[in-house]
Amino acid sequence: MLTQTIWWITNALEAIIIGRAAQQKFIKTYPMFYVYLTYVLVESILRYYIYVRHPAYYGPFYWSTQLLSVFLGYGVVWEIYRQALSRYPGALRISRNALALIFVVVVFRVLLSLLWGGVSSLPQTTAELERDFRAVKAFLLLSIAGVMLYYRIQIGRNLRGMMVGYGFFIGTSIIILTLRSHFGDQFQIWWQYLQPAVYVFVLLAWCVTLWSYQPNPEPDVEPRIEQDYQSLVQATRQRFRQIRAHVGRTVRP
Amino acid sequence: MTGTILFLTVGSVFLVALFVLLRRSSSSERRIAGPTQAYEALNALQSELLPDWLVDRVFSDEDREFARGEEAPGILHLFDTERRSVALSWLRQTQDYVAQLMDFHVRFSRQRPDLRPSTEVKLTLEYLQFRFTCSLLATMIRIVGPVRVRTLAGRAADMATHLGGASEALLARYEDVVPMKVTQN
Repeated sequence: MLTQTIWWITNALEAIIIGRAAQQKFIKTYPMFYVYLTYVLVESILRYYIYVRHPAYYGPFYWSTQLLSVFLGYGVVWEIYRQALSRYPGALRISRNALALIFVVVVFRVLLSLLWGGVSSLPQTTAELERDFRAVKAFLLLSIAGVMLYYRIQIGRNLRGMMVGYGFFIGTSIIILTLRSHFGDQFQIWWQYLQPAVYVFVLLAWCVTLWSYQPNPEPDVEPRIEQDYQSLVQATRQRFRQIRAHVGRTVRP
Repeated sequence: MTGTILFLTVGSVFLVALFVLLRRSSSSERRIAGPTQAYEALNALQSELLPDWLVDRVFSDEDREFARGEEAPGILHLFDTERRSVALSWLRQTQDYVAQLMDFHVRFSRQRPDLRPSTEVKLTLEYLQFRFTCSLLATMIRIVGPVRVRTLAGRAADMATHLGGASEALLARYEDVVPMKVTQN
């Protein structure tokens, strides 16, 4: 009963977030994020249909669609990266290199551990794969946040909400999936409440922060003519000072 | 079991780190308003704080030896207290100006498409090294006094000079951009 209530709440919240963005006409501003959210909503309804009509197929259907949503989640990370850094070509360049490196290293490590560990049952393998790929996302998100901090990049309420919500979802998922993978079916009872409860919290955060369009602040180093003039004056002073120092050194015995 | 602990740690550390980073990035204060202040900081560093004679003077034992020779009671203690505060003030101002220049650097370079990642990484590491050296120097000044940390102070001054030089080069590039924009207007 409780799980079904949570299920209805998550669907309603997803529909509200998507509907609100469509109504306020900023759905196209964050396309990958809304594609992801729409997919999760459709997937959820399809799962319900399968669960009611073809319960025997529910397990395989759940795990296979779950993996697809994990990959679509990379779209959300990409959206955050693009939105946060697109107006900062220098920072974009730095983070592109860092993200590519992290992606290759972590995916390589994940694939290696997968090959090393072998393949067990579908739920077990998918849960481990999901956890590993979420760990990759965690590293990517952390790098983006690091670049933002280093380059003093300010973001708007929408993007901050996306980052906080998705970051919280990924972090808690890694922990929950690790526990699921370690304890197996014993953890199932907790799993079915914990994962959706976390997701409801994430959706509530998105609902609040994505209620209206709040763009990122404009970059603040736009040279103004007055400021430019002052900088030229300072540069000239600096050069005079250097010349004076140089002449002083040359003249002194 | 190792994998479980590893991933539990990754998840927990990630959650904490992400929230700390986001919190800090939203509250990061602007230290510098523009190139004018960057020039002022550079001038102050190069002409007031980093000349060799000044660093030598603040951290040399010459004055202390002189104070030791004086017969007035408590003069050596007074000298040590005063010189310690001068040295700490020098360090604080140097750190502050370098931080302002780095602030200008990141604000300017983040918008340059021709930014070289390797140079950026190198500069960042140098700055971190400078910060670490300054923290160490501040502790040492408080514990043993400025006279015994002359070498470390010289190292910090060299690093500040180098970072100042990098900012000077950046400001020169900024000048190249500015006249072009003025003539375009």
